[in-house]
Amino acid sequence: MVSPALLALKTAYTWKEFNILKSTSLKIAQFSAWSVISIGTLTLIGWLFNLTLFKSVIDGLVPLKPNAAVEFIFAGLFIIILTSETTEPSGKRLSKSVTSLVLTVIMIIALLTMFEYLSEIDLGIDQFLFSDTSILSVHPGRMAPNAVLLFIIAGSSLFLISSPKPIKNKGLISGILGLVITSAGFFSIVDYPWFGSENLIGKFNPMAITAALAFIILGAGIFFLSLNVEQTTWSLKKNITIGFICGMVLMIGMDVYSDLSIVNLQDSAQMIIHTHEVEYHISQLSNALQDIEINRQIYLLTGNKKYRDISKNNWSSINSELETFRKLTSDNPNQQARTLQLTELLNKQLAFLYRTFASYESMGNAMEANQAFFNERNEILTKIRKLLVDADNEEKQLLSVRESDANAISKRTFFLVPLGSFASTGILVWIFMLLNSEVSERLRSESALKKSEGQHSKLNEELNRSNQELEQFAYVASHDLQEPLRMIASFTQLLERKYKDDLDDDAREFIKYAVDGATRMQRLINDLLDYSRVTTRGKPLVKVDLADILGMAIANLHTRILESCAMVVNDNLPFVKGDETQLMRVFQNLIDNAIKFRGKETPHITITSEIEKNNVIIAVHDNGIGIDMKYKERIFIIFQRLHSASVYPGTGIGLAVCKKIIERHGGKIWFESVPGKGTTFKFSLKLV
Amino acid sequence: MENEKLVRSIDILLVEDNPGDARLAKEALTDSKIKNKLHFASDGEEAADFLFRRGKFEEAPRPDLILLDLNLPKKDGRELLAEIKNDPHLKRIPVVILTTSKAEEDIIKTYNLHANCYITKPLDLDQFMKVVRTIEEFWLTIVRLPTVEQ
Repeated sequence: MVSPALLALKTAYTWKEFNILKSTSLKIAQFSAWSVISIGTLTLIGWLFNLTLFKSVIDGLVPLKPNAAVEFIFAGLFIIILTSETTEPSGKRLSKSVTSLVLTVIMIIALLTMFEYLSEIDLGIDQFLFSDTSILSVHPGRMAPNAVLLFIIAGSSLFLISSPKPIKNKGLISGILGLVITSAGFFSIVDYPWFGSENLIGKFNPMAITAALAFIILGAGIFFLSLNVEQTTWSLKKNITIGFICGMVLMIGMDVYSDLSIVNLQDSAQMIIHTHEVEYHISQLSNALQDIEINRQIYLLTGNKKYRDISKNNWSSINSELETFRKLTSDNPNQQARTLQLTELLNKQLAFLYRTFASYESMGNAMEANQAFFNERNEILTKIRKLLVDADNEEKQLLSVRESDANAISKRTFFLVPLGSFASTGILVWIFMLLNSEVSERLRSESALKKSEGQHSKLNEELNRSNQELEQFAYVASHDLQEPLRMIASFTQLLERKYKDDLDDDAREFIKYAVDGATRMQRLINDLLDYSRVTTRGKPLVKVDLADILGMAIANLHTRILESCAMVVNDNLPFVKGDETQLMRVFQNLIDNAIKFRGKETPHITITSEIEKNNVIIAVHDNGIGIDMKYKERIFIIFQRLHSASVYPGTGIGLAVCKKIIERHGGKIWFESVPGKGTTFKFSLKLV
Repeated sequence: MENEKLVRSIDILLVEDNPGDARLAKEALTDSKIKNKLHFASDGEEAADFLFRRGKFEEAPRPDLILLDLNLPKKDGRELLAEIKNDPHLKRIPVVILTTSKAEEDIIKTYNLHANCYITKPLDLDQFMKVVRTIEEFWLTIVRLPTVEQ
């Protein structure tokens, strides 16, 4: 019963689109809450006006105790408040404080009652609301101990549900607890016709039948409420482990229980045999007594001494029967007392018998001998017979008790053992399903991985090839493309120099453009080469001191800083994982840009750092001309420029290289700027 | 000795596949104070023939300075450099690597092969001319080299 429910529960929690289920389950939870509140309220009314129907349904059954009724009402209230939707913050605060108060009351009542049971101290809370005069209760007014336990479970699961903390699997746990409460209530109800509530009376108060019903409803309410709990799930490993432990515990428990039951049954069977034996000896005793009486009378009538001897001999069998009886009933004080009385009475009777025989033999008158001590003898005989009947009755009663005990044990065993095996089988099936789905998932992903590995190695090959091609291109660009450009530039210049006097102004201008174009192209090629080398010639990322690196960058820019009277200040900078040369390049490019794109004021450059988890964000702030935010993407693209080269020289490589370097370091680069006020370039790096 | 030095013309071997560069070098050395004779080899094999006086170079002089480009047709500049530095008669001739490559591995490799210096060809014409003249001046007047054995 537990495991299919668990499966259903699991499915419900993992089912992605269960909104319909959710709203329905919320309604069911509310309905159960109202039902529980009604049961509690009716019971309290019953106590107030002493109405048996409301207190215990049928006269003679255990009533639902006032404290338990209060607990039910509070538990129901808790669910109602929790499920009623309040969007206002004040309403939320109020409902939160009310729910915690209600939960506290539930737990306090349950825990105090538990304390009373454990410590045997009466705190007076049982009779606090109404006084209970019921003769069925050992502790008048106190709810049953199993009810106390169920209230504690209910309180805990409600606490779990309402807790804002992301407790793992709290929905599942509270759902299971709800089911436990329902099952316990169900078993209590089942117990009624089968075992009778008086079974527990000796030690504990039994649970009222209405309480059992209310627990079934409350447990269901908690279960449906738990379906609405947002939850994080346990890992598969944990699920399997817990499932396995539960299954093991259940199976071992079942085993121990059935073993104990068998032992009990054997004991009962032995006791039944024993009782029968005792009964047999009682009947033997009374038969022997009967024989003595009959033989005595025959002897008195006939004078045949044979009958006198039979009668006398029977006494010895009576003594041995009595001895056997005494031994068999050594554990029963009632029977022992009877044995003593019987011995005394039988001795008296024996004495009378001998006196009867003696007077008969001396006087020869049978009538007279018979008449002597007649009344005394009869009285003793009646007493003996009564004692024997009593002894027999006691044994008969014991027999019936033992038989019903054995019956109860076997019934319970027949019910619980299959249930337990069913539950543990269910858990095993559940674990099997978990493992099965995991294994098939893994097999699937393994084959997918193999497939993608094939593609991956192919891609890798291609990547390697293209990298090699890029390397080659870089070399070609650096050497072979440079040569012709140098030729163009050099010979046009040479032309101009050698034939200066033969050329007019136009010719000189054209030559200038040709030279400019060639040199610019040379620079572009060099920049492109640089850009490609960020990845192909990058050094491994190691622990480097950003402060040192910034120092080197500033030293490299020494002349430019002096020329522009720029002020460069910086914070403490941390150690990061990086390529020293490349990071220096980033600082150098950013500071160089800050100086290059300065405004009217002298450049003021601030470098700060801010640590964020495992990253550091470096900010390079300037008071330059600023950048329109609409260029936030374009500015980082290679050879993209926002100004003409005549105003601000450069090829548009600096920021593209910075971006490539930072991305190679696993970071990001961006900027914030107010045109005319200044720009802050920021980049993130990984801390060591 | 002093007199001889003034009178004797200096032989320079320029190994360069790019006629433009060769022409520029010639241009640069024409106006030089030092009397020199510039010999050209346009690939590695021709340069080797010249140095080892093979074929048409039977009468070739032993150069006082070699200007060597790295990327050459037929025989690579690095190969030729290794041959020169392994030859007992040639290894004392200063070899100046004059190339467009800025690659770190080229620099390391040629110095490992005992090149005497490595120079990247400047992009600018004036710079180029200046460099060529400086090389000539430095190696032929400033640097003291062993006298050539006969």
